[in-house]
Amino acid sequence: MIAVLTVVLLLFSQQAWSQATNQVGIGIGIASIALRDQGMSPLMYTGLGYSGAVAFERHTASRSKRFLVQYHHAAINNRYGNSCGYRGVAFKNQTLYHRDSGRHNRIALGWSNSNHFMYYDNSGYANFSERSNYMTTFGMVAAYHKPFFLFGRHFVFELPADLKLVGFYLRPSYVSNSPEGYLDPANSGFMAWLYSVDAFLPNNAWNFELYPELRYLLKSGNQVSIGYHYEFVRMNKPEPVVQSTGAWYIKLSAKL
Amino acid sequence: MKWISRSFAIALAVLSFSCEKEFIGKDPSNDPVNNFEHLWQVLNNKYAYFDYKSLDWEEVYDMYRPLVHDNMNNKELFGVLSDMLFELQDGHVNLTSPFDRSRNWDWFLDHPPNFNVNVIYRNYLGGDYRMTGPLHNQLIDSVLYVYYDSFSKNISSSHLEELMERARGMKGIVIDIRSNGGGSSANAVALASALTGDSFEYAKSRIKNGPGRDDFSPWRTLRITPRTGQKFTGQVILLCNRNSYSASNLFAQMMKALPNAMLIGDNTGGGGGIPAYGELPNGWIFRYSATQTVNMQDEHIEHGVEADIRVDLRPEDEAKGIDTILEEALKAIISGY
Repeated sequence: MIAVLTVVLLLFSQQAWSQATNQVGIGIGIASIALRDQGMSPLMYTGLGYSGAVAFERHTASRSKRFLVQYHHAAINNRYGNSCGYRGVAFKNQTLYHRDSGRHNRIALGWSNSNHFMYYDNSGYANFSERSNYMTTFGMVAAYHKPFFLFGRHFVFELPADLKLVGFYLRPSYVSNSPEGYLDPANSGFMAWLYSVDAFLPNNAWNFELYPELRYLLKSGNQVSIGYHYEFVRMNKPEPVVQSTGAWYIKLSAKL
Repeated sequence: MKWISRSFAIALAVLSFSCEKEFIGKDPSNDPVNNFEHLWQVLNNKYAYFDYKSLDWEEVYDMYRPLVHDNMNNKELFGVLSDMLFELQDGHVNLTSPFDRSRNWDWFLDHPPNFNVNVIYRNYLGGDYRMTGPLHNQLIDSVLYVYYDSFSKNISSSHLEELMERARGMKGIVIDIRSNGGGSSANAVALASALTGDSFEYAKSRIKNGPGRDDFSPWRTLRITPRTGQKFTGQVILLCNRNSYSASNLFAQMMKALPNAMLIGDNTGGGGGIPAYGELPNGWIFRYSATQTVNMQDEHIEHGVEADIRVDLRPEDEAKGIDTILEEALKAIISGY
């Protein structure tokens, strides 16, 4: 009990003594999406769309937290011209632990969580055209952080890599977009959800993200960034779906 | 500076704009055999009526697989695949290519048409009928006659309100869905909800939920709940023929279960399963029945709903501009069946 209290006090004191900076950022960009949902088609659907994100970041000397709401919207087609309207929304957060090394290179380690909903509607199908996938995942994140000066300006290059290892997901059932548990009228809301979820484990599902970003730090503490966010998702049941998304974006961040 | 250029070179090389598709693999091979195998396999896993139709799909494979070879052209492949799908004897099974759409229409072509739309428009709807949305209607004596040619045409609440207002005080309604090949079951439910004052159960449905022959979800009871707003709870007669299919078949089952309704004409054509869709490696789209529907007595409606009074359109009546089936319905309502 004393040990727990000590840890809590230490964490609290560290927070209290640290000088925190908070930033909120808005990003817009172009997303390239590639998707193959074997329950819908053996063919790959690809296309370009737009991407938007709102991020909140809190940095202390030893810890960085980031909350991100992301949205993708794209028209994706197979190579024969059939199309899907695609939308994806995600709420992600990550916590990175590091030494106080604001002026030096560092590699920070931490954990991450992602809550991701993807929806697409096949225009060539009159029934059962909609497909929805949802996943909540937890994993590890490692980030390389490199501050540098160029022409007297202050930049930071960051390269976080995020691998999700555990969690759960909901997918359409074998034919219908309704997850399995919702097909049984005897199931209540919670039981239907319970019978619908599948374990997100490495033998069954994958989620990996990599998002290099170059930040230009203004004297005011605000930032202008350019980056690329790559994400790969695979879920195997009831039939495999694989999605690979890359988004180039520009982000403006304001110091709070 | 070196590390910057190196990092970005790596990042751009690995994560360049076109790389997204590289990570999810290539499309399956588009050769005749692979297309055949894909179609056969998806149906093997997802088609809902093999057992009900006592169809040995493996035997069908043995029959058609030898006909597929790498040197055949698209039209020849389409022919073989269409013939294979024809074996399912299902109006909800089609293969659509850029040059043709396969179908099995025996469910109505093997039966008398029992409908002449010109007789209806010229001699019953006349020049002054109302087009209440897709519901073309006319007062005939003390009966409201409603002709609805496709459940794909949406019925709104205001359409129903207007129709019910017109039906008020009438002895009955005749709803004509002959040669209505179906559409959205939501329109069928909406129309039925205006014809009852009480909720009623009319069918049960289940959907494939796995690759096994018996992999289905539990049965879900389908019911009609009365709409808010005006309703007609008097006599209803539904006119059907063998070309009343799919959503029309389902609507006929609703009327079959409705105590104040009856079916006159021919049995409906069937189509009890809701079609799902798939794609072949060559981009052709196919559809197949992925659900089953039974009535409250657990009888499948895949092959139609039986008419309560079986009446055929007599050619001599048709020649005189008389619709035998509609006349029978009007007589039944006037006499209070």
